Amino acid sequence: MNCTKCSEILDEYLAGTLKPELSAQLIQHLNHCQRCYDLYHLLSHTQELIKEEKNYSVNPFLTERIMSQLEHQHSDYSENRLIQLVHKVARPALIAASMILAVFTGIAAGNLTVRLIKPNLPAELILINDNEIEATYNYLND
Amino acid sequence: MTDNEIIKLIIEGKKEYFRILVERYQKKIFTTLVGFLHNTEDANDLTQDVFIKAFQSLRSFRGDAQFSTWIYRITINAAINKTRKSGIFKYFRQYELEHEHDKSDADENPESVLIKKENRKLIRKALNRLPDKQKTAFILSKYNELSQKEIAAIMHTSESAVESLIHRAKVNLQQNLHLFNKKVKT
Repeated sequence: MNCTKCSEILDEYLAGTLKPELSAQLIQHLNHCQRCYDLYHLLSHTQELIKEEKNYSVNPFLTERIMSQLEHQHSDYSENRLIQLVHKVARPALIAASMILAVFTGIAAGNLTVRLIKPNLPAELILINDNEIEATYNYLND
Repeated sequence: MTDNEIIKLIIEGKKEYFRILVERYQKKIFTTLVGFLHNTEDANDLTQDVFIKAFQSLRSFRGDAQFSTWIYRITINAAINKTRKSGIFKYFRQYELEHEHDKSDADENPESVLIKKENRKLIRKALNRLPDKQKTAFILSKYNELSQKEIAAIMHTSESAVESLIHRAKVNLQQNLHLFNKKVKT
C-alpha cells in the first residue's frame, strides 16, 4: 500500500467501516511509514476533539438571557407594522420632495444671475433675452 | 406545536412563544458555533445574537423552507463574520483555548498534556484554514450530524455538491495537518 491510498482510506478506518483485509494492509503501512502514522495520529485526535466539542453544554441561563433581551426591545410586531408602513410611504415621498425642492432652488438661483430688464423697454423687447448678445462696437473700435 | 404555528403566534404579538423555539434549537445552534469558534464563551454569546437576529427578522421568514434551515443559515453567516472579524484577537483567544481543558488534564502526565495541547492547537488551526464552504459542510456533517440533503438545503446547493465539499474538506484537512505538523517538527 502506498501513502496516497493510505490517506484515502484513513477516514474509513477511523470510522470503523473499513474492510478487515484493507485494515490489515493499512496497519502494516502505518508501522513502516512515519508520515502516515503521524497523520493517522492527528486524525484520531481530530475525531476526539470533535466528539469532545460536541458535548460542550449551552449556558443554562441562555434562554432567560435571550428572553430578557427581547423584553427590553421596544419593537413589538404591531408597532413594527406601523413603522414599516411609515417607512414605505414616507421615505419615497421625502426623496421626491427633496428632488423637486432641489430643481426649483436651482432655477431660482439661476434667475438671480439674470440682469434686470429695464422697465422702459417696449413689451416685444422685454421677451428678448440679450444677455448672450455681444455689443458690435467692441469689434468696431479695433 | 409546529415551528410554523409558533412563528404565527409570535408575529401576532405573543413574544413569549419564542422561548419554545430557543429551547428547541439552542443546542444545535450552539454546536455549530462551537465547530466554527472552538470556544464555549464566544459560542454562547453568538448563539444569543443569532436568536435575537432571528426574532427581529422573523417577519421575513416566509415558510418556504423549514425554520431549522433558515436559522442554520443565520448561524453560518454569523459564524463566518465572527471568524473574519476576530482574526486580530486570535492570540488572546489562544490562551483561553489552551487553558480550557486544564481540569480534565489534571491526572495526566505533563508531557502528554503538552503534546495533547499542541495537537489540539494544530487541529484547530487546520480546521480554521479550510475554505468557508468546505468548513461549513464539514461542521454541519461532523458536529451537527446532518444528512447531505439537509446540508444541501441550508447551503442552497445540490447533494452531490455537498458530498464533494465534504470530501475536499477532508483532503484539505489532511494536507493542512501534515503541513502544520511538519512546521512544528522543524
